[in-house]
Amino acid sequence: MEVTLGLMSGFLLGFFLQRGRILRFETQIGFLRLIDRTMLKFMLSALVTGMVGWYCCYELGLVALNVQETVLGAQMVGAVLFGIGWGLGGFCPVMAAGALGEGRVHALWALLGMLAGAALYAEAYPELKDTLLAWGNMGALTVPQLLGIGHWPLIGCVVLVAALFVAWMEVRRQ
Amino acid sequence: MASKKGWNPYLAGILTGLVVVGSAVVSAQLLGKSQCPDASGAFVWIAALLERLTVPEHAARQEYFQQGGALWQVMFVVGIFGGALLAAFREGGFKRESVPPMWSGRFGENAWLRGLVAFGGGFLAMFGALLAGGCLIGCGLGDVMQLSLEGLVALVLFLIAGVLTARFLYGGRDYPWR
Repeated sequence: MEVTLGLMSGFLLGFFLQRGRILRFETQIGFLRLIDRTMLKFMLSALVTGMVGWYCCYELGLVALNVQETVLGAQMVGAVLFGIGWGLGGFCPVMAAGALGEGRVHALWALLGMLAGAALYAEAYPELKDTLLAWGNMGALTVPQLLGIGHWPLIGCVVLVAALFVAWMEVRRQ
Repeated sequence: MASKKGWNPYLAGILTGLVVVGSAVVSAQLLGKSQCPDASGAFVWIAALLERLTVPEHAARQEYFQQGGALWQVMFVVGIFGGALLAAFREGGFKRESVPPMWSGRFGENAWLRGLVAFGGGFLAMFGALLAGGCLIGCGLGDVMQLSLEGLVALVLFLIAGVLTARFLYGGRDYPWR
């Protein structure tokens, strides 16, 4: 069941990402080079939809929050490594799989590299457990909790800022 | 072959948000746990499988393989491949490409070089994602949607590091934002 759900959500996502042209190397690197806004628009709308959707479902008791722990040491180092890899390869795991589906065979190299990265991470895990993965553990904190506000005020602000930003972007195009 | 213009990225984003939330709700209702799609575990699962087949004693001693990696994530990644494949074929966007134009404009047409850098990039991205707690979709979208601090820290640093890397590789802007 879990497997079917994974397959189906992946299938839908792959389809939407392909049609939205998100999977392309040009879209990803163009975004990081600040010359292409497709990814920005995509992420803004996905985040806003997701925030509102998730918390609405949460209020209705349909879903629980699955907040991971904030471990600053691991996160900061990991996120920077990810960013460098993203800039070099042009793909994150999801995009690489999708790009391969579009025939971009160089994505296969990225996927193989990801496999190697996962294997090496497992090798390094015992070391990491005692070092990076233990530094700066703030617990499973959400941003509203950190700021001491409710989640809806925060979501409201995010939606407002996103709407203004989108309006500004679209108006500038005229 | 020119393919038709793609969907509006805002639309793709909204649909993506709905899929992520939808799959969390369905998994919560049917499985009792809200699962956010994340691709990084898929690679751990496959790496674990390969190691169990080739160096089983070593694999058995790997602590991380006990907890990281899940089959449903592998199916998630397979699904993405399938969905993109179908979508590309149906609208003509499928194109066999060894070196993307944006890359070749700067670094040349050598497919091996492109492959090597893609390999290295994938390696760093995955290692980093596993450290940070997820990839761009799982963490950058899925966790940030839940307003987790972990997601926000990850996303901000993904972007800063990515932008700086691209700047380093490709130089300053060529043309204004489109």
